[in-house]
Amino acid sequence: MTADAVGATFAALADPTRRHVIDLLADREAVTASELARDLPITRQAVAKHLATLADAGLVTSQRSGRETRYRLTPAPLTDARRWIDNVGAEWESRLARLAKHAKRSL
Amino acid sequence: MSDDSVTRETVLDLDPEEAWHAVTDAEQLEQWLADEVEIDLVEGGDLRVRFDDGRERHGTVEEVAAPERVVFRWHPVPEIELETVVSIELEPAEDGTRVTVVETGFETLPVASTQACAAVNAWAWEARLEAAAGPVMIAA
Repeated sequence: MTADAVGATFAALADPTRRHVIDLLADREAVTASELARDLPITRQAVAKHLATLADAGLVTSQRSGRETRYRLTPAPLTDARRWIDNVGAEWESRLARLAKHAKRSL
Repeated sequence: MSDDSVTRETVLDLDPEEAWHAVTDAEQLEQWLADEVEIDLVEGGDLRVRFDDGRERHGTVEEVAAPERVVFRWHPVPEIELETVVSIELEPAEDGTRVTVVETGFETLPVASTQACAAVNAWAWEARLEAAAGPVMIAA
């Protein structure tokens, strides 16, 4: 995953309401914006906006059936972002390995 | 998800003065930290690192205590406000100088939040059922 994609994920998750939406979606199969709005202190329109932002970051997909649009969580970016953090340690390991090698050479 | 820091260390075949040079001099840093490094080695000084793939990180030097410790803040992800703190400590070791790097500040990442974590776990469970994914929630 690129740093850009991780950035988009983190930016989408920076908003507490959107994290709440993620939380609600994690518990359910596929829900409409109206159903989500019932559990949130915001309007259906505001929920739809947040869902659009989450969709742009690849965290949510939507499916139309008849007059309804149902949203479901696609958490792969969350996992990637999580892996990105785990990767920080691996990055330092390879940097320090380069440093140790360089130190030997310069002696 | 509780541990918010990353610690790694190595021992260099260098005396502390040489090791200090290796971790604070821009040209030396370009040998191991990033492809291009600009550092103003004073408290509050600018740090800029660039990688050959185009990524860049900006930061600020926080502490300069030669030849023992240099601390800087940087932005590991350009698009967001996240700032982590990197401390590089040097101490004499039997066969050289021990370098310990500690990077902290990941707890501010939204993905490290309880809710996002729960969401990942929920999905991980589902994925396990579908046998569709590898390990997911690895403790930081």
